[in-house]
Amino acid sequence: MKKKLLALLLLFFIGNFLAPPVGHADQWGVITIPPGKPIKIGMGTMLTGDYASMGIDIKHGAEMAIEKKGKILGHRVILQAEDDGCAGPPSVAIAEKMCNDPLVVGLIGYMCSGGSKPASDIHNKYKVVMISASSTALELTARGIPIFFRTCWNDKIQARRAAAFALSRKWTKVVVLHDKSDYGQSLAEDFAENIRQKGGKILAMEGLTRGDKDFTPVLTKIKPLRPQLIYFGGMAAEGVLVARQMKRVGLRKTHFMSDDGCYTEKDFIQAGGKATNGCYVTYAKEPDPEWVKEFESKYGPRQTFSPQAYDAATILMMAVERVAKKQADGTLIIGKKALRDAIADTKYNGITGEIAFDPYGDRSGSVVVVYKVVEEEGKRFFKQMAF
Amino acid sequence: MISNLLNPEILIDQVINGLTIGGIYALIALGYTLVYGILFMINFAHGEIFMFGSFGGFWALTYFVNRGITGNHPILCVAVAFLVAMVVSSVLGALLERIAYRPLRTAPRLAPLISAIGASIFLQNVMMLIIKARMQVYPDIIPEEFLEMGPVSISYFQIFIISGSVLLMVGLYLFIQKTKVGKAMRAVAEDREAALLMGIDVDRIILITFVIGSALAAAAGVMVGMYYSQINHMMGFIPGIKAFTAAVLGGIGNVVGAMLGGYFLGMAEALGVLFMPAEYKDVIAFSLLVLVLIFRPRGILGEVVSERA
Repeated sequence: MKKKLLALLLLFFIGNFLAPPVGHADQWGVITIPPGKPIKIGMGTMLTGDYASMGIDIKHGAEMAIEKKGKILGHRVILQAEDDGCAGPPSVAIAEKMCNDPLVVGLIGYMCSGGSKPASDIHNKYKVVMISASSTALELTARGIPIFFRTCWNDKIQARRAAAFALSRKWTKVVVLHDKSDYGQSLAEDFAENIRQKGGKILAMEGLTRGDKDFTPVLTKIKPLRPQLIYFGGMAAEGVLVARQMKRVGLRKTHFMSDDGCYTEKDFIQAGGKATNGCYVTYAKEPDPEWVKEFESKYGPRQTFSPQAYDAATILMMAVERVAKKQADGTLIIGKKALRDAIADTKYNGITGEIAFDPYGDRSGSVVVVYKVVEEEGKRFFKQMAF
Repeated sequence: MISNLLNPEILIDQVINGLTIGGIYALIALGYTLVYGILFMINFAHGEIFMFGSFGGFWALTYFVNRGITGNHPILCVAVAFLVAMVVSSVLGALLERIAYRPLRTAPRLAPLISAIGASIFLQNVMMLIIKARMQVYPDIIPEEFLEMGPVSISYFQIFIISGSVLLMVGLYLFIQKTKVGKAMRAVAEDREAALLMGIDVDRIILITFVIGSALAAAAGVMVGMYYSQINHMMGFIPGIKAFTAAVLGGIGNVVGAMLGGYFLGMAEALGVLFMPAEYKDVIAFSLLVLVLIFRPRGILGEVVSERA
């Protein structure tokens, strides 16, 4: 057994020496796309389950960018989307699969921070770049992982913005709820910290379980505290139930505020009925209206992160185009480090605004805006708040 | 937080919350207990029967909304939705019994259990394909109003769920105690062979048991849909497990026990949150189960049944 291993190792080293010296050696190795083969862009997003509307929206965004581009240097570009379940284990499995696919140049995803975090370690091992359109947890860019980028904001900005808005409305007595996920909990804690620092008071902080439907016990428990605001860190499926059940237990004067996870017309405004009128959520600036029109004519109403996914796919394809070296026979050689550096250097005016990355992979100068659910002329929608 | 306990207003609110969810648990738990009482098997696909019932009601209501007839007769529409849901679930329950369980009735006891788990996964996936794995939203055809009694306010939905589940349970109890079929059910539960010798059509009684259990689950399904508004193909899993817990708590096989167990569990969840952080809600439920089983291995109302071969 040992001998066999040794022989294999030896073979491997000799093989390395014998391999034809390539002029475009890359510190991290290269991706080779043989002639006639497509360039694959991987994607991890939720395609089934509670937050599928959001996940499919992300897929549509990237799909649209890729269909528009069509070909890079004579190679067809295709999107390979997998269902990451908004959770760690499936995301890790997809990461292993994508990183070991010789045609995958990079990946858009993963959808949730809880998936992006463990998956980014795998991507870092194989040095395959990933650009998330929707993972906002602070720590993702604080872990020194060079191949991680995102076209959304990080939750530090979102939490600070939300807290500043709450205080500007003089909501100083606040209850914070979260869904115990990497995303929801860290956002909620950050929000609470911001409120405390600026003189507000956190009356209680409670965790909910994803997938649970009955939150009336915990809401009844916080009712006698008479909070002015309930802030929820989490996704729309649970957020909309909290908003509805607040009214049910008699918290009718308390405001509700949540995050980008609840910025979806279908799962929040429509699912909540009139109970969501007057709720606040934070999200990016509205994307280019021309683009929205084009997108909606193709896929129907947009939900949340499709613009960010569109930009992420565009950036990835631009970088591939810049660093790919076409051989005489049509083979593309793409240096992994060169690709990563090209993405890091991005200066691009996307549909979500100016895009550039800071050294950590975060988008520099991203803006978080507060929206309110309003009903005007029989239509219910997210209205941007002047703030 | 302890001061909350002394606050009667909160206590009453929590009791109402507990009764609401407890009623739903009890309705589902009855299905487990009825089947166990007769066949000595756990029908693990019962949560999916509940889920299909909820979708039956959802489809009916959506149909009415699209036809624009909900505005004039909202109550009638809801009643028909309940009926449709019960029919969908009953047919499904009967089919399950016929296809997945009857062929295994004489097989070792583990075989129908595995068959039940298989059926459960199968049904989840069927629904996933039907709804393309997207969450569905129950149409709001009756606006939620509140009954204000001083500081306490109750939603009409809560009143409806609490009274509806009690009515259904009383109906079931009377059915089992007073009717001929109910008597036959009790006889089959007591001794299947003897019942057969007395001329009772055992197959028919077993089928009826499945149908009744399924219809009750369907009622719970529509209530959950109307109360919480969102449903999907995985919605049967957690209530299924909770209701199973309730059935075991009350003493599985015992009809009154399942009702008691359901309310007990609902109350424990609602009141337990007052002592502990809300994230431990499920911990409270399952710790209680462990405790009850240590001191009363057959559940609260469990009777010692004679050993069977």
